[in-house]
Amino acid sequence: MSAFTIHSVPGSRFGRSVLATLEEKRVPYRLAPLEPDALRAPEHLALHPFGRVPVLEHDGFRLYETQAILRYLDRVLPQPSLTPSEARRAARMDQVMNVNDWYLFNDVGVILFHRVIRTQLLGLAPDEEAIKAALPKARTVYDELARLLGEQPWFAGDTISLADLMVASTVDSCTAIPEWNALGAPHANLVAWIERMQERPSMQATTWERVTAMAKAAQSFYVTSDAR
Amino acid sequence: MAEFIVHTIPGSPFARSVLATLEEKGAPYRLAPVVPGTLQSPEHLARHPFGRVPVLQHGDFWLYETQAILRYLDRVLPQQPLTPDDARRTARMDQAMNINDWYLFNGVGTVIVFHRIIAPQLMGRAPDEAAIAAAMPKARTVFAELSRLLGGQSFFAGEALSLADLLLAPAIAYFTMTPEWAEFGVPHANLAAWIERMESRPSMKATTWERVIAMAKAA
Repeated sequence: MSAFTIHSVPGSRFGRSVLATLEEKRVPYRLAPLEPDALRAPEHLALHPFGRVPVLEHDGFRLYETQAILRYLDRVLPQPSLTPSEARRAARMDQVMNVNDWYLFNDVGVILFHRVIRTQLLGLAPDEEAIKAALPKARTVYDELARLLGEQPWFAGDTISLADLMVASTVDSCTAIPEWNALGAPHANLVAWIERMQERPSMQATTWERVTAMAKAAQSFYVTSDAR
Repeated sequence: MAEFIVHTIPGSPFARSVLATLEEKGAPYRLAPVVPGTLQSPEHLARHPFGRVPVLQHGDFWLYETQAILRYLDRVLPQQPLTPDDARRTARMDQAMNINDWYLFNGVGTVIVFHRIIAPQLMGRAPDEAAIAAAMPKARTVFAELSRLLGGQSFFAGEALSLADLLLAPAIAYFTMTPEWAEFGVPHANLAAWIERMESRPSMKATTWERVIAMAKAA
């Protein structure tokens, strides 16, 4: 099996879902880091015409869209399987992956943007009014995630699936902001689930700090090899 | 097998994908019409907490999110599979389905189809030409990318129909009714031929807006 290369920006939650999936599969991979301001560069638009991350390259095959990448990895690396074999459990996995894309990304992402991206990357104060306005919808998302998880250890049942790896990167980011008290903390099942996720080596290997370190290692390699 | 019940508003492109998939499978189903304007009612929010359509009811199993519904139908109705068995073809199917959700719907369909079709026909409002003009660059990128991914193939995942075609076709069928289609379809002959192939399928003919309105009235 030839190498997997992931083009991503350190801090990308979707990028982390892909990296954590590769960690769960215990396969070697290479991070090809991008600076956030390189997303609109012609070289990146050639990889991803909508200027986002992550992008996967595998043995001459190039693929963007996180759900598609996760499902592809689970097909070409079947052990351990991250898709339930039972139709209704698989449907819950698919549903949660789309709740991630349609609702968690949009309705909770706006709060993370103000609390994390604006403050840590752009050096701006968070827009408290925007955060307040986003809270009701964000609460609906968390209530629904808690309902879907129910008493199960993982979103699709008794074993971890792609849904857990997709949702965990965003929920993990939320545990670090004050709004966690209103969003996640009231749901004991979600709190226990994200703690289980955070304990996994796949999540510990792909924190923002660890991915930044991978990116620096990759960049120093490029700088060295470019030196005349 | 329990009956498939699809809760929807007539005219929803996402619901049409579900109905057309059931038609492709030859499975009997029933439409449970949701009255427009009641998406935020407690009754509908109990089915779909984000207040959208479609919702599938199959026995005691309830499922929302169109991609999840399509994949579920293809698992429980495996005859005439709509998912390729090759990993890379399947990846193209999955990618095209997500391009539909992330890029074609958001900021393109929600603007151009909304202002050209939904606002004038359902709300009696003139189209917002400035909003349409602002959405055109992204729309051009989406259609160019869809055309590139389709390439010389008959369908998005190869020579056989897949869930990607059934997700995209109802959305793109709306664009063919707008004057902007001249900019999207004419330069991409492969895409124009593909939507004609899709619209000539019995599954798409059985699920036009008019046919779904008739089903809703009958229900």
